[in-house]
Amino acid sequence: MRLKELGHDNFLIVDRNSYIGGLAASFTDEAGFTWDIGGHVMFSHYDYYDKLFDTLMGDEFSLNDRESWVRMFDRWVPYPFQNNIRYLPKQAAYECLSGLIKAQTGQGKVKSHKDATNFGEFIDAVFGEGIAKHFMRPYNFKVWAHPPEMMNKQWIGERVAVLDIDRALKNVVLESDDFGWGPNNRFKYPLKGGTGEFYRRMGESIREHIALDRTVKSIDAGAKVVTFADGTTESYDVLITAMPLDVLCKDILTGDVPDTLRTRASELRHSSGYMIGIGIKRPCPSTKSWMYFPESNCPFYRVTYLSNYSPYLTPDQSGGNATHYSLLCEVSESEHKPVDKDRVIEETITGLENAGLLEPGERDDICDTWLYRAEYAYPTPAVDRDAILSDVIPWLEARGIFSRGRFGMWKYEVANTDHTLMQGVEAVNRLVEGETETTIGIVYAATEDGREAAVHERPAHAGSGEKRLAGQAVEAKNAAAAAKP
Amino acid sequence: MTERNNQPSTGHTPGHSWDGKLKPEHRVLIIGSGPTGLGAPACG
Repeated sequence: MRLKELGHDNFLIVDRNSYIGGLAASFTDEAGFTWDIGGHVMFSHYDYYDKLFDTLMGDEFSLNDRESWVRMFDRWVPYPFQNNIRYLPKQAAYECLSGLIKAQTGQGKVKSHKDATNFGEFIDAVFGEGIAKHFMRPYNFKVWAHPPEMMNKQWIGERVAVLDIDRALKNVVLESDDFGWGPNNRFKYPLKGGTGEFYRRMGESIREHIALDRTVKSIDAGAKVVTFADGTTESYDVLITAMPLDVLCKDILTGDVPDTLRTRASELRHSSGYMIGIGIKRPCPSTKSWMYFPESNCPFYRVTYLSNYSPYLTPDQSGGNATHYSLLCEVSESEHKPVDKDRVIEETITGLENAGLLEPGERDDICDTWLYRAEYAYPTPAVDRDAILSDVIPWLEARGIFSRGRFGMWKYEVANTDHTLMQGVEAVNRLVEGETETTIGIVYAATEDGREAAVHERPAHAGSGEKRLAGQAVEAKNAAAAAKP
Repeated sequence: MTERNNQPSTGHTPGHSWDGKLKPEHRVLIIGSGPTGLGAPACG
């Protein structure tokens, strides 16, 4: 779409699926419920994305107040948990406050978050033992399906609201509410068709450039030819690919590809995800948007009241969800956290009962279940990720291959839908107009409220000739240091 | 749903000079999802 905007018509988009949108697609099942692949809301950082949404969706969207909660100790705690410790039982609240004070006065396991070498140490340094025990460690394992010690700390900035002692004490002693949501925290959602409707319309606007049901079998990076499973081929001068980077390097690239490159790419880690939709023939009992579940009494880490996003996502098409509502539950999976696919729906329903989302007897009113497994759900920000990307991405770009997207760039911190779309836009801006890409190099600083923390920097590792730029920065710094008396 | 559009190979011969800037004669191929069927955006 951006290519066309800039007057370049010589392009073709291919996709294995019979639809576009990838993980952002939506599906309406036979029972009449519409499901997304996990929780998606339109929460953009970019004018371009916002304007595109306005252009394609017009007034066909709903505007929702974000209302997110954490379920623990058989109660609802407003999100973010760490700002609302006062809602916990007193013993747990004490442990959280005590740990926080120790951590932030240098008495904890890790003296400073700057000293932390991984996400686990970051949790200990910033939040302390209590918050780590009650929320951060169990919740993050449920989401990532990897021990936090395997993960880096760079991804955390905007995603996790950090906390200072004074704010924590104030909220507890003065019984202040400190919600991460409110009237000014709203998100858009397509009125009909689920989140994928936005991307479906995007495809319609450039349909003459899209070829569906075409499965890539191999790419000869030297000859610049893609071969498909049906034996057809496509030649290219420039290739932009959103397929998982490890698959691209391990299984797809042919020809003169160093074994070390294949090995490095195969070391990238990811987690899989089960999306379980539960349709219920009852009026929706809640105004909540989505909820987090750190405890072990349920398999999911997040549940969304999806039918609250729009009145047109259930069989009750008259609007208003007067007769049905829907819950979208997300369960992660990895070698560290196996899931029994045959039992995950039943375990999810039992978990909904344990977590207080389904009332006793309400399971009898479940009229629909929907299951989707994404082999690639979360690109794990592992400790060695950036070093791997700094080996792999420049090698590809030197051969005219630009790997972008949630699993193309493998950077969770810039892998939301708006980020991912802008990775494509910026890659095209770079190719056509010579502009520097910024999204793939975003660094998020940790802030107290977890918002407005983005610092756009030139990439330190991946893409855009970063090694040279990073080298220049180091040289400049060293030169400045040497010039000092 | 976007219609299936299995265009045959264009017969285009790659290998135009490439200095890092796209010119009209350059053919761009975009792979949305590869053999996994996944790619493109997610999350929100």
